[in-house]
Formats: sequence, structure tokens, C-alpha cells
Amino acid sequence: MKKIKRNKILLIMKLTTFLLSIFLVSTSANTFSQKFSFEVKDETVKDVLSKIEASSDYKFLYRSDAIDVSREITLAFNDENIDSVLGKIFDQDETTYKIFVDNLIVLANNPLQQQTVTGMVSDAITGDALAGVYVVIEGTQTGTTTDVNGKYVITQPEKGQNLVFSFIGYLPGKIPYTGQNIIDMKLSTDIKALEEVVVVGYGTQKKSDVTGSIVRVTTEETSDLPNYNILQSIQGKVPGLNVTSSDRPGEDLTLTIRGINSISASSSPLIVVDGVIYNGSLSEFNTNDIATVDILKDASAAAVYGSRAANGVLLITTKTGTTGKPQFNFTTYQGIQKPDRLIDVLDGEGYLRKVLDFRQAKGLEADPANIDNYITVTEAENHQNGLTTDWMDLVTRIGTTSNYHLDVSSKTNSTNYYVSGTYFNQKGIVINDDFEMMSMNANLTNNITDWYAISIKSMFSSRDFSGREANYNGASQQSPYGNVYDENGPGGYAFLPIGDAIGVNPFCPTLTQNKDIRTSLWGLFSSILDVPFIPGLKWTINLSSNLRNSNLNNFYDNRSSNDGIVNNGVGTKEKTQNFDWTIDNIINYRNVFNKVHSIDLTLLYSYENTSYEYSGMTGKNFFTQVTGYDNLSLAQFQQIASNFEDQKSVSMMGRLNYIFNNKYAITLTARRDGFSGFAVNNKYATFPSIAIAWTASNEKFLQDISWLNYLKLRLSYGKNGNQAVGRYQSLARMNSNQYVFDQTSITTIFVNSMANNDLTWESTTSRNLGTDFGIFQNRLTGNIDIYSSDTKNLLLQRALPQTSGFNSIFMNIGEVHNNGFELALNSVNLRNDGSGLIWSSGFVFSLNRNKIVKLTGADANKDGIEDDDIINNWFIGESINSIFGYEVDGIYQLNEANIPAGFAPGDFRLVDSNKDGALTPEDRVIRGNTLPNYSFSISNNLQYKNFNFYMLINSIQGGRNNSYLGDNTATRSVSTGSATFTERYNFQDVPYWTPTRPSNEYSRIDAYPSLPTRILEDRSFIRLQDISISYTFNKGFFNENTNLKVYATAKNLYTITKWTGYDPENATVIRGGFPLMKSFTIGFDFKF
Amino acid sequence: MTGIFLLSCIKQDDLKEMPHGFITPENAFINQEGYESALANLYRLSRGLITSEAYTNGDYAITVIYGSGTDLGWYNEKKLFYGNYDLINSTDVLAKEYWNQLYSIIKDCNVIITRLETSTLSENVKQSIGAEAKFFRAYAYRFLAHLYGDVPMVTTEINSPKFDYVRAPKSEILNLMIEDLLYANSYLPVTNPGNGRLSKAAADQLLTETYISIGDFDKAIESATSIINDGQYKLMTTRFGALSNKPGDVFWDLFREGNQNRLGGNTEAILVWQMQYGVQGGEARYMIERAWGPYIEVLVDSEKKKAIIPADSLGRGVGFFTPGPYLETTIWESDYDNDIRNSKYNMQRVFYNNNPASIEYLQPIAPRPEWLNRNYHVWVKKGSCPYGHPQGYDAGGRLYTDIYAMRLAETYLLRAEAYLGKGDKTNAAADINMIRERANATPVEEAAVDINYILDERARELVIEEPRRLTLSRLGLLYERVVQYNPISAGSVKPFHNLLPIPQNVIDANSGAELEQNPGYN
Repeated sequence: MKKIKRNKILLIMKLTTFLLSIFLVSTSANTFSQKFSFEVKDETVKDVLSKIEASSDYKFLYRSDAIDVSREITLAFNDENIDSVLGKIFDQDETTYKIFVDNLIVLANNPLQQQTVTGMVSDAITGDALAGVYVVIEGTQTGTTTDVNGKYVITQPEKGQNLVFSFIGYLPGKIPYTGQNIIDMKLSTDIKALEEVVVVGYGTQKKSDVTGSIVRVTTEETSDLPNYNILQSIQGKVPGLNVTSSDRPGEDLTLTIRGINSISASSSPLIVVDGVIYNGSLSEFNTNDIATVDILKDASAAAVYGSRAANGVLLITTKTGTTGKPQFNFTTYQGIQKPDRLIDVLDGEGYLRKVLDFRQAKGLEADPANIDNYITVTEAENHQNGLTTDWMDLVTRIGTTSNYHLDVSSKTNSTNYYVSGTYFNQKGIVINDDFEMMSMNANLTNNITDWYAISIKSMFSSRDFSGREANYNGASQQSPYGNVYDENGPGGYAFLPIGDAIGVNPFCPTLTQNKDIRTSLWGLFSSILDVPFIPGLKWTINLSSNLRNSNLNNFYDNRSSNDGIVNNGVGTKEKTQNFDWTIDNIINYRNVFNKVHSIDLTLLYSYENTSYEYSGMTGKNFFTQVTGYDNLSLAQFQQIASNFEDQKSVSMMGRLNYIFNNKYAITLTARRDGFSGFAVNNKYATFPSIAIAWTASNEKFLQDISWLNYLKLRLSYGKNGNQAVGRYQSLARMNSNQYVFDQTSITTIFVNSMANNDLTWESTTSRNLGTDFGIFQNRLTGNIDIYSSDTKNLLLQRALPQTSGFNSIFMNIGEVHNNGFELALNSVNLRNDGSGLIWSSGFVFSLNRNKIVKLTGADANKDGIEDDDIINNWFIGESINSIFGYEVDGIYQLNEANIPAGFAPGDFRLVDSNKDGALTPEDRVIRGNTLPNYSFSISNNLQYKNFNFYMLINSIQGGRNNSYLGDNTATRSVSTGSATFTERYNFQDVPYWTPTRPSNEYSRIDAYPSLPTRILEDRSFIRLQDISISYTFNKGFFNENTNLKVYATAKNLYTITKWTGYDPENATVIRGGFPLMKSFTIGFDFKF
Repeated sequence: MTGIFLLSCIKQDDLKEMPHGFITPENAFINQEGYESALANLYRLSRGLITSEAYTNGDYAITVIYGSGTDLGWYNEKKLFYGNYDLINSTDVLAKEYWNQLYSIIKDCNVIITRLETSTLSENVKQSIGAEAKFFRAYAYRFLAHLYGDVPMVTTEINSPKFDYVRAPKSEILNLMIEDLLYANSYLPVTNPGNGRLSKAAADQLLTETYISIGDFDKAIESATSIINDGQYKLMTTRFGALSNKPGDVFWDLFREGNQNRLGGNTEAILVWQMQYGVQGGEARYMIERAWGPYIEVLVDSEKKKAIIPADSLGRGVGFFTPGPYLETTIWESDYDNDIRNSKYNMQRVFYNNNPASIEYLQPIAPRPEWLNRNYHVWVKKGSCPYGHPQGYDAGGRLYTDIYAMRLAETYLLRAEAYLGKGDKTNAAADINMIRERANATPVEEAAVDINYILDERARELVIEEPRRLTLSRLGLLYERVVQYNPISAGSVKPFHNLLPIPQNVIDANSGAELEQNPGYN
């Protein structure tokens, strides 16, 4: 038996590696170009093969016991290719051969097939065939590699021996041989495989070539979680990303990347779907249809989107076909939800005590024996009969979620398609709070020729928010002695449960006829031309359009709402339509010169048009309530409204990426943007950026360090913009209204905004220093980034003295500085190939600080120091998110001396911070910051045989006073200017101050602070956010092509916090807020 | 494909912004209709000083400017609505919202006045538009000067951000008002159109009050006399209007829905803010019933059964304002039973059980002590719709009745004030007695006439029509009158409270110059 020499194996491996890396850069390598011209006379086959090996790049692999190589042959070859040569050599026997991409030729003898093992190696996630995987029998030098289809043939091992599979970028795999003829292998990507391709905007790049700060998140890991919005899936995954979660069904989430650069403008990142800018909401896309999310964080990476990129960019890539054979995938889950914490309101006894306490505080008679005189007639009746109602319990229920998704996809040489449909249904915890979503996705790419392809990607989604939910907050304010039902009332409910007009029955809103459907139709049509004869030149045209419609109809009949009663029925019908279209022309050229100069050039011309149309109709006073909003012409009082707005953007962009010798990379980007919304002289602006990267680990002097596998340093500098204000903001605008003379209506008009002819872009200049690394055979990989940014020409809605008749105007004033630190680590803590146990962890940490550097430049008191803008809470040198006001220091107590005029025992004690003996506006101080100090998350993934366990812990940590204003007083704040209704509402069960029950935390029951008072709380928390456990059945469980996974998940299982409101992450307070949801889900994925 | 590429290139320069769904000053002020629409807005905003549709706190103006914290009464919980003056500071909501609203009116007047100068409209059209705009500018400055004292004087359209306002002396503001009103006087129509639109008499009425403020009593008498002698204006002395067949009297008729406009036969009206339920522009949050009507829905009978079933005819008061003894009894003492303004139709003091299920059905409800603050006090029926609201029962307590801004009765009282200023008590008494005569009250003796008597008479005749706080501030008598007649607020009111604080946010935003606060406020 001929053994392959060890050095040959090494040679092959090196060859493979090299060829593969070239292959990725240049697809034009030709392995069949060599020609042979020679003659042999009575030479053994073995010698002939050696001759070919010596004169070419081909290497042969065969078993001498299977192939008769001692046979002597006489042949002549004249400028023939290898196929022809081998065909002649083995003309007479059964030997077959296979040529692999790396010029390896495997010879085999068909009759001896049973003595070999064959199989296919594929990517465990995508199912893609993997070519060039090295397969070896453990402990021997017998090995082979897979062909382009992932197939391999190897000499039959002895029973008990293992087959070991290894491939760059993948974790090695091992399978014991027990006599089977076919051994298929699925290899998992090495976590954070450095060779992965990322989307960089108007193209893709190898991750190793990237110079900017880009992070990719695949949805695979979180596919078990009941995330209806993709932002839920990336929450806690990427440093510098801050997602605020949604508590109500169907509600949008918000995302910020690297803090807040702008005050007035949106801090939301730009969303790009399959390469084109998307103006709609991310919740219009179904999570099941999204394959990856790439996040561009620094100026250089985002620079391709110029004026829109100051807040970072989120690149969504939808799924495409990955397997040759059509694959169906059905997944479903069912879940339940319950609030993490429910408000605890006063019960019957507490409510009556409140009534007495309140009367006592007001100096009124408060005799417990006469309690029925102090409450309403209805309340007194129920009190006497011992009937109480737990409103919170009545308006809530166990929430449910269901999701059904089916897709089919396939990828062949000519066609790639992915078609899916999803139905999602959620019933929130509040009665009648329902949400439904249907979406369809169809992606199709067709290679018309080798060099030309067309692609259509489309998405339709319909989200149904119809139905008004019960009034959750109203329920918390209802008296426990109220009546819920009244057979004569609307829908069987008592309209006013205690007869007090202030508290309409929380169930009455459910009687509103409400239809609220929002649809989005999105299409992307691409033409992709690989220009023939010029290798590496590609011209892509993307034409995208998006039509979003919203239909909102309401009818408040004359029984179930105050508005409906007063107006004898109110119906509204509102239609909103957004229509966007974009054309992108992209020219891309990439090539490698002299094997060391790698160039990637992208040029873009883009035009975008966005329009918005609104029409609304209102009808009031219906003699009949039966037609509702469907016939508003029956209304006595009719009103119409309409609007149309549009805007245009024109952009040109160029990006050059140059890499020398796989070590030194530089990226230069410039984008020029024009936007119709800006003042005449400021229509265009240019945004340049530069980034350099050094892959240190490719240097010779570092290659000997065995534990260091990968090290790259990145440095970037660039300027990006924020369109900030919307269209028409530079124009003076007038508004209209109506007046009436006698009975004749007349339209009235008035100027409601001042013109600003100088409005322009906000521009953010930022710097980023980062490193990517992989050590210990890439078992520990990660990246660290430090950044700073300066935003100038900040668009501020500057407060005007109302003396002008306007309260504010948009101006380009001010400057904000941001800096921050981000760390992401991924490690394979434990990997036992024998038992199949893999434990990997991720750690993500980020902190960000912002600071106002400059405001208007005003210096009214001429002290040489620029003035703060007190009215807007903007202070130079302080965070944008500062909390400004009077410091609170407990509560004034009964026997306390020096209580200032306007205050009484039981009121919050405000601090005279300048110690001048009086409470004046000068005593207001900066009390802290609403943003956290830092945030981190830890994820763990444990894989054992067929089981997989995943968990994510998420946390934000605020320092002292780094908290949010909790409206945790029983009474109302002075800033609302409204009356206090403590005596008529029920409220949170808090130990409010009374003369006999002094508190230093909660004010007196009838408190009405004469100066605004905010109670601050720390919003730090640690939350067990996601847990999922899954079991994947063995492939043969049903048949070879099926794959079944079952799973169970829990979300927001446990939160540790001192925050007394509902959710420290969203800083939601009890009054007017909504609780965070815990959810539990089970589901399965079935592929066939 | 190439075509698409070229097409998109051509579009490159097409970044000009065209407004579609809104108008701009440049395309609105091009013809008379544009100016007329802008003028109509001034009526809306001025009505908004009572109906508060243009600012957020619907109940505030009608409660605080019209009575709460003055000699008339207070809010049932003294901590709100100026019941306790210790709580009034520079962040006071009313002071801020009123300032905003008044300067919005001035801004809109100035836009019209400034743009008229360069307009190509004919001279007489410009004059009649300018007359209306200038009247409203004076009307807004009237509130500012009397309620806040010295205030910034803005007389032209502001086109760019300005942060350096300073306060002009009140006397300059008053002179500007006189100048504007004389212009209005010259170019407003003499004949009152009767539909709520301005006429010359409105300018005369405001001139009279302003001349009194600068001490020019002769001119005040002259302008008041021009209204009285005009011939169009007469006090109503006989029953009229839609509900004249119902029990009541002529004073009661004056305030019933549909009776305020001259088109309805009313000869007393000079300027009336217009309301019309169910018509666009005719609805505003006029919450006089809610704020001033007692909260009777909680009253019970001797068995603790509901004594009041909510009803359209009752409306829904919630008793924000509690009349003090001054309004309840003091001012009526001399003519309690004969002055029709104190009749049971106009000042309701007894409430009747309307619950058929009660044993005391239709009987008077016996008051209990705990109700007196809010639930059982005199109801000024001017602010009510006793035979039903056009919208039916309304838990919001809104009225859609036209609102008197100026009425001839006040012209007499203003002229009396001017005569008194000159020391002519004979003519002052004669003017007051014009009103007392119509009210079937005993004529006042010449010797008894002083400014306090005129204030009492104003309270009897003009309660919830005149902005009482403004009247007292105008005369500098707020402090004295509150101390004398308002036992709840007397302990906290100080002389400096005669003026409202300058809003802190206006001071804070005025970064280019110091805008001084009124003394006493922090």
C-alpha cells in the first residue's frame, strides 16, 4: 500500500490555502490551461504520472493497491490538456479520475469502490457545499480534499478510526468510522471567522480587508426567540448599540448607535435593505426573512452614505437560496406573555383611607363613621354591600403570541430564489390590545449569461393594529368601589363606574370602532453586469420603490366616549401614503495586480425621491350611529384635511480600497449629497473620509508567535452628515384655522414659523481607533474600538422669547462632542470533539459620553463666558441629557422650622443650593444624566450533542443620579398646570406622607408643589433577557433530507434593579407607563 | 437601462423646494382675500383669550382673569388659580400662556401692518384692513400693559431671531394703543354689521378705557359719548329673543344663546366674539359653565340617594370658582329683591332635586356644610344654557353661546369713571343710574359714587364679562380689594401682585438683553 508522504500533505494544504485565497479575490484562475507534449515508451504508469507532476502543477493521489500503476504504456501527446492525457493513459482499465480546483487529481478504481468511503462536506448553517476541505484518517497520513461540490472519496479506514475534517474558517469536525459507506459532514464556522464577507454599503468586502468599524450579526443564534422586530435580535449583541424595547404589541423600537450626536434631529441610524436606503420602519420586515445585519459604526465605514450616516448605518440582508435542491422550511412558535411587574394600586380599604386622609389634609370633616358621605352614591352602595373591583386584574389577561413561517428556497447555477410567507399574531396583556402581521417575501436572481444577471427582491407586509385596547392607565385610577357592568350602559358597561365624569369606564374604549392597517410594498430591481473582457469590472443598477400606506379609521359612537357623547358620534378616516423611489448606479472594479496590489473601486450615482400624501376626513353629529366611519357624509358637521410633501436627494460617491500584500490597507471615500430640504445656498455638501488598517499578524515577525492568529489595527477619520430637519424647514410657513361671523365660517391664516435662509447640514467629524484580534487558535476573538466625534452646525430648535410671537426656530448653532469605548469578545471556552460539547461565550461592553461644547454664543451678562440655554436644559460642558432643576432633599416635616412660603409639611424639601436663604431660579442645578454610564451584555451558548442552550444577560449601569425622573408621587406635578384630582382618582399604593405617617420619600396626599419637583431614581439594571434551549433531531430521524429542531425560550425572565417604575431600560414610569413583558415560547423548525 | 441612467443624471439640478400642502407669507399676502383671512385669525386669537383654544390650559383664563383670586372669589382649593398668592412665581402657567397668546396676536397684527405698507392694494382697502389690524394690536397691548406693566413694544414684523427685547414704559404702550385706536376709529365702518365684526364703536370703547388710564378724562368722555349718542346703541329694556316666553327678565335674555348679536335684535352689543356649535370655526373651549357652575352632581337627598340626575338643562358645572361673600351677598345688599341682576333667574342660589326616584323629588335640596365650597353656591346664570345646550348634555361644561367683548352697559360705566376722574359726580351718577334703572335697582346717590362703587356696579353688571383681574390691575386696586373682600387670598396677597410676573422662560430665552422681572417675583 502506497502511503502519501507527509510533506506532500503539507504541500497540498498550502496549495489549497493559497489557491483559495486567490480564488476569493479573482475568479478567473484557470486550472485547465496547461498543455502537454511528450512521448513515453514502455514506461510504467507510475513513472508517467511522476513526469506529469514534475512538469506541471498537478499532483496525483491514488492507492497503489487499487490502481495498477506498474502497467507499462507507450503513448504520444501533442499539445493536449490533462483530460486528454489521462484519458489515453487509462484508456484500457477501470480507473477514473477527478480533478480538483487545487490541481489535485484523485485516481480511483471503480470495482474497488466498496473499499472507499465517500461523502459530502457542507456548511452546517447554510448547507453550502464546501470545496477544498481536507479529510484525513486520524493517526495516518491518508488524506484527500473535497471537490467543488463538497464531495470526497477516501480509502476505507479501519473500524474505530476517525475521519477528521478541517477547513480554514471552520471548526474541525471528527466522525468515527463504523463501517458506513457514506459519511457526510457538516462543519460549523469558526466563531467570528475572519474570512467572512461583510456588507459595506454598495458592495461587500472580506472582513479581513475592512478598514472601518463594521459588525455583523447573523440571525441564526436568535432564530428561536420570538422577536418580531430585527432590533430585538441584535439587542445586546453589538457594542455601542442601544435598543429600547417595545412593550406593546406591534410597537416600533428605537435604536441608537454610539450615543447621541444630535439634539433636535433624529438619532436613528440609516436603514439599508439589500443595498438600498429604506425609509420605512424596520418592523415592516419579518425577522424570519432576514439573514444578516451589518452595522457601520465609524465615519469611514458609514461615509458611503454621507449626509445620512452621522448616526451610523444598519444594513439588512434578506435571505436567498443556499442549496441546490429546493428546501422547504416551516417554523412556528407559540408563546405567552405576562407583565414583569404590575402596578399595585390602593385596594378598597386603602382607597377609603385615602379619602379620609385627603379630607383631613384639607381641613374637612374626616370621620370614618361617615365615610359614605365622602364618597359617591355608587361607591357608598358598593361599600355597604362589601363589593370591590380589582380593575387592574379585569383589564389584563395573559398575552399570547403565535408565529407561522414557511419558505422555500434554492440555488442553482442559473437561478437563486427564496419565497416566504409569515403570519404573526399577538394578543397583548391588555384586553383588546391585538396585533397581526402578514408578510411575504420573494427574492429571485437569474443569471441570464455568465456575465449578466437580473434580480428582483420584493416584500409585502400588512400590519393590523385594529381595535382599541382597554384603558390600562385608566383602570389604575378607577375606584375599587365602582361598577364595571351596567346592562343599560354602552356594550353592557357602566359608562361612569362611580358616576364621576372624570373616570370613564376603562372598557369603553374597546367599544370604539377602530381600523388601523399599515401596509408596505417594497421592491428592488437590479441589473448586474460583469463587464465581459474586463475582469473585475461590474456595473449594477438598483431601482427600488417603496409604497407605504396607512389606513386609520375611528368611530366613537354617542355612548362610549366623552367625545362621542358631546358630538353625538365622531368618525374619522385618515389615509397616509408614503412613496419613495431610488435609483442607484454602481460601478465596481476589483482586481489584484502582481499578486500583491489589491484594488477595489466603487463609484455611485444615486437619486432619491420621497413623497408623502395625507387625506383625512372627520364627521361629527350623526343622527344614526349604525354606519360609523363608513359613511361620513351622514354627519352634520364635516371636515376635511389634506397634505402633500415631497423631497429629493442626489448623491455621488466614490470609494477606493487598496490593500498591499494582505497587510496594509487604505480606504478613501468621498460622497457629495444634495437635498431639496435645505436653504438655496446650502443644497450640496461633501463628506470625505479616510481609513487605514494594518494586518500585523500577516507580518513575518509575528507569524512565529503561535498563540497569535490574527491581529489588525484600524484607524479612521471622516466627516458625515445629518439631514436633521425635514423638508420645508427653511421656509416661513403659514397655518390655517377657522372662525365664524354669525353663522358663516371663514378660513383664518397665520404665520407659524420664521424663515431661515441659512439652514444647512449638521456635520459630524469622527475618529476611530480599533483592533480586531484572534488568539489561541482563534478560540478567543474580539475587537476593541475607541472613538470620538464632534458634531458642528448642530441644528437646534432654539427657543425664542415668546415676545416675537414664535416660540422657537431651527438654527445651525452649537457643537456636541461624543467619545466612547467599545469592546466585544467571543470565546470558545470549551470544545470537546469527542463528546461534542462546545461552550462559547460573548461579552459586549460599551460606554459613551456626550458633552455640549458650544451653544448660541450668547453672552447676555457680558462675563466673557458663553451662556447656557436654561430654557432648553442645555449647558456648556455638560451632557445633552442632563437633568436640571431643584435638588430634592426629602420632605418637610411637621415640626420643621424655616419652611419657605408656598410650602407646607409633607411637601418636597427643595435645596437652596446657593445658600442665599431663598428658593429662587438660581437654585436650580444639574442633578444628573438620563443616560447610563455604561452598558454590557454577556451571552453564552452551550452545545452538547443535539442540544443547544443559549442565554443573554443585558445590563445598563448608571452612576449617582444617572437616573430617570420617576413620577412617583401620588399627586400631579405643578408643571402640568392642571388641577389635582387626588380626591377623585385611585392611585399607586405608596406610603404617602400624612401627619401621623411621616415619610421622607413620598409627599403629602394633597401636595401641589409651587416649583417643579422631580424625583430621581437610579435606572441601573441587570436583566436575564433571553434564554433558549433547543433539540435538533438526528438527520436520519425522518429521512435524509429532513431536519427538525424543537425549542423553548424565555424572554426578560428576571431583572435586578432599584427602579420602582415599570422598566429601567426604557425608563418607563408607573403613571402613564406600561410594564415590561416576560414571555415564554415553544416552537419548532422543520426543514424538508 | 442607459436611459434610466441618463434620466437620473438630468434630474440632478432639480432640488428646488416647492411648497405643496401649505402656504407661505409670500403666496398668501398677494390679494385682499389673503389679508382678510389673516384678519379673521385675529378674531380667533382674541376670542381665545377667553376660550383658551389657542393655549393649553382651558380653564385658566376664565377662572383667573375673570375672577379667581380677585375680590369676586377663589378656587375651592386655594392652592390653585391664584387662591394662594404665595404660590405665584415666574413659572406661573397663566402668566406664561397669556403672554404667549397676546404676543402671538401682536405678531399677526404686525405681519399684516408691515406687509400692507408695500402692498399694491388700493388705499381704502389698505385703510380698512389696517384699521382692524391696529385695533387688535391695541386690544392685545391693553392686556399686556394692564396685567404686566412695562412690556416690550413690538410694532413691525419680525423676520429673524431676536433675543434682546427690553421693556418699554407702560405709558409708551398706552400711547401706541391710542395711536392705533385713533387710526381704527377713522377707518372702521360706523355701522355695526351686527355679526361680530369690528365697527368704529369698538375702537371708541377701548379708547375710552385707555384715555382714562393716561388721565385724559375729557377725551375719554368724548369717545364714550360718541358711542352713546351714535343712535345705533341702546340698552335693552324689554324682553327679547328666543326664550322671551320663558320665565325670566330682560337681563336674563341678554345672555341666552343666539341673543348676543345685533342681528338677533340686541341693540346693546358693540363687539361680540362669535361661537356656533357644529360649524367650523364656531367651536372653541368656552368653559364658563364648567368653571363657574357649582358641582351639583354630587348632591344627595336625606336618604343619601342622588339628588341630581345629569341633564342637558343643568349642564355640568364643576365649581372651579367659588364666589366669595362679596359676589354672593355684599354687592346685592341694597337691592337684594328688586335688582333683576340678582333675580333667581340670573343668580341661582337654590337647587332642586330632579331624581324621580328620590323621596324629595322636585323639592329644594337642603345644603350641607361640606358642599358650600364647591357644590352649593350661587350660580351666575349668564354662563349657562338653562333650556338645553346645542350639543346636549356635555360633561365638559362647554357653552357655544356668543361672548360679549364689549357692551353698551360698560360704556356708561366707563364714562362714569371718566366723569368721576374729573370730579363730576353728578354725571357719573347719571351714567350709573342708566344701568341701575334698567336693572330695576334704586338709583345711586351722587355722594355715594366713588371708584369702589363703580367697581361694585361693574361686578353686578359685568361679572364674567369683564376680565375682573384686568380691571382691578388697571386701577391699581387689586391688592386693596382682595384684602377687603377675599378672605381666602387676603393673607397671601401683596401689593406687587397687582401685576403678573414676566414669564421665566421669556426671561431665560431673552439672552441678548436683560428682561427685568416685575418687583417682588422670583
